[in-house]
Amino acid sequence: MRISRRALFFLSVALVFVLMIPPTPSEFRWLNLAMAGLALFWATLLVIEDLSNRRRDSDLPKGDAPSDMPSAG
Amino acid sequence: MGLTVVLIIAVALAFDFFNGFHDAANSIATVVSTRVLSPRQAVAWAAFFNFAAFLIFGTAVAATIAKDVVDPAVFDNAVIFAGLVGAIAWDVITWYAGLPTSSSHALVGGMAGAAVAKAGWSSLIATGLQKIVVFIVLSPLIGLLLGFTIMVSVYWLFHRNEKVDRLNRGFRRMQLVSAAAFSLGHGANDAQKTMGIILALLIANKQVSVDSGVPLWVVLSAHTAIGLGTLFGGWRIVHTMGSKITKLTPASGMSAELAAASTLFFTAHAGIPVSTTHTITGAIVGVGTTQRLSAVRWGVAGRVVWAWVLTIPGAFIVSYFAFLALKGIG
Repeated sequence: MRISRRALFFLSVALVFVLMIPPTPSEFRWLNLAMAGLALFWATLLVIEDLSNRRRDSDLPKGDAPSDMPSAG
Repeated sequence: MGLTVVLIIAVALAFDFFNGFHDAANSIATVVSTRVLSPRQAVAWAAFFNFAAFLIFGTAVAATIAKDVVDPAVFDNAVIFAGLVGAIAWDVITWYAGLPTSSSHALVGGMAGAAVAKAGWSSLIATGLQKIVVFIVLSPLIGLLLGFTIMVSVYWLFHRNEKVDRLNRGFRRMQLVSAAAFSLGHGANDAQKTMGIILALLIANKQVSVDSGVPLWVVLSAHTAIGLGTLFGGWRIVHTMGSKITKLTPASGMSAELAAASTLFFTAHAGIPVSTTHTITGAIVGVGTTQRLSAVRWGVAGRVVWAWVLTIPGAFIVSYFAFLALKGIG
């Protein structure tokens, strides 16, 4: 399965927030967790969007790709 | 109050003025590029809210600058002056090199460099510096995520609306609110850094006690300086931050400004000095990412990363030697 670049981008943003937990002062660590969760949420949705677009593509007859399909970036 | 103190306060306020002058583009970029306001109206709008920020936000960022970066006992006129010289010199160097530097980080690096030159590494307060360094990385990323989230929410809410003209008019009006919110955040964050420097100076000269808050005249003069800087600087700036990073529409401009403003409100409330430029850059990248990754000009975003790495050490080194030079002179 190939993951879109945007999903990978948000996965890396989530990773940065997680990696920044140890140096973050304890009173702000909830923010790292909340933001990592949000980034992971978007990464998951982008993966789902990518998969559903690909399924839609494969269901269509060849040469009949929809013109309004959002780019996976 | 001695003449030296008055002169250093004047330099600090000049630093604040040029901060407003330089950063005005961040506040007015979207309202001007979408023609909601003329450049002159936009800078007046931004300057007013820069000033009005003192009515809403406290002085937690000022307290962090004055008391949590360098041991207040180390501050004296020479340290504060050398710190300001380092920050200003670094801003000029990076402006010449085209790096989107952060005046805030330059100020922190400058104060730290001058303090280390005077009293060694033990003069630095690790916890305060740690908080600032961590949020150098986090604040643009928070802006990015909030920008993306608000933009996608706007798409979800309005994608079925077919009255595009009416919708755009609504977003253009909303941009007035979002630009005002961002200017409030900018005023709160950046004016407070100058307040922190002046507070440290007053503490060093025993004009106020270490435990005291920021005197009202300091609050008002810092907000006036940044507001005037915005008023005088903004209209000159043709290439706006928005158009440099990605193409903005009324909806995306509004989303980016709301995202950056929310981040700045949080950091101002928590007493964390962050770069307003980096925060709005992150937010604009976030709204650009809703189209596709290639809709973002990553060169500008990459230069922000370079500014993260270079600003504090650069200003530190300049201030370190500025302090030694001052000591040598007098």
